[in-house]
Amino acid sequence: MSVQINPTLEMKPIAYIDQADPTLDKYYSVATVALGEVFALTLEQTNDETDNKDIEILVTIDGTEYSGRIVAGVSGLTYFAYRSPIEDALILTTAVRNAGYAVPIRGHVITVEAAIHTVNGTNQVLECDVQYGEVPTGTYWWYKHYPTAVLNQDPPVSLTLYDIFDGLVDARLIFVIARQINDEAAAKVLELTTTIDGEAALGTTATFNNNTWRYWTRDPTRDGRSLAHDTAYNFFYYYAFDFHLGTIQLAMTSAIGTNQQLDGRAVYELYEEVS
Amino acid sequence: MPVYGRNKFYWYKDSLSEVDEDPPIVSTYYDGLDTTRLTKVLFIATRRLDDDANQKNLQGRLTIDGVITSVANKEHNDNTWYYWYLDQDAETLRVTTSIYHPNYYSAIEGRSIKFDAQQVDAPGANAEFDIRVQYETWRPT
Repeated sequence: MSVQINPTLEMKPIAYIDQADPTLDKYYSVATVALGEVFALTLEQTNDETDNKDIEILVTIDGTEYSGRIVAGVSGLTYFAYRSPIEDALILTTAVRNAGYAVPIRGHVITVEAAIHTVNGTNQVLECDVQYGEVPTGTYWWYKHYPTAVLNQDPPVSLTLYDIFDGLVDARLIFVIARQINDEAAAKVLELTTTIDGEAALGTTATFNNNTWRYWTRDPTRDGRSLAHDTAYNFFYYYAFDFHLGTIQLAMTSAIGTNQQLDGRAVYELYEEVS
Repeated sequence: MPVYGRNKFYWYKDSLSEVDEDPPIVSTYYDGLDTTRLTKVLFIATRRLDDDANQKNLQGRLTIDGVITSVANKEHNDNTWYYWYLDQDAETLRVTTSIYHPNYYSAIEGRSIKFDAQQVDAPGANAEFDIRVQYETWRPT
């Protein structure tokens, strides 16, 4: 009997453009990735005057667009793009890429485009590089991208659980984050509860300052479902969290403030049949 | 030959594997994990404590697909969690007390994975020896 294995990504040659004299506001195709994962994205512009330029990288994952744009992109400086865990966007940074930025971008179809939105300088060049891999031909199942799950509960009822998502099937969870806002600017206690593959985890509580996103991460000494929290917005707290069936809920255990808001976000992918 | 069939398989989150050996027997290996299907290990953590509150040497052993991949020793402070991970050469087992961190997140995969550990130094009074392993297994959905 054959053993069905987890499809393995095959690294592809880097896709790139070095577009001389790019047309203003035109989106140049850099890569189309079929059933794959993008490992790294970089964007750069150069011109003889070393002027800053408005440049953009646009990634479309299974129909959802993620734009990373920097209005004053420095000539000759390479920008690295990675996913924002808060919104459907890309963040551009000049920080050296490292494991902390290795947030996976997977999908059935991923396209990468680049554009310049400022009039060209002399010898203007727009550069964009894409490192990616694809699974072999004959793969019937692969991760499909979905827009970030959003909970905006305004106002919440204290001690009431609200779904960030309910009943995700064959999922890979990338980020779970939460925030609370109230007119008194008071800190509040939130609780996260998970039910994953038939096991309900006790809620993990944490105090959230007003209008501050906090990240929920795995605790390696516990069951992996009681998510720990951290104050820092940090990709170092990304861990692949795979499960067959899962629900994550958020509650406020403190008293409700004036104009209280309770927000949750979950970034995830679903392992689905290739159409 | 790899098979990417139409039968759907996916990762299932397994219950935390827990060893709470109170007291442990010196030089006796305890299984933290021993699987026989495609497995992805996320975290391996160990801890020991006793009334001495001194450092004690622990040895851990990782076996992937039936082959002992790495053996490592680490002096464990009293009542402190240590995290085990594969180094960048993917063959050397390392141990750290650093707060869990993706740089130490190895995603160790194999068709069978075993992790066992023993206390090398004799435990003191009221000794406890703990292993925690978080893992997932690849199963038909």
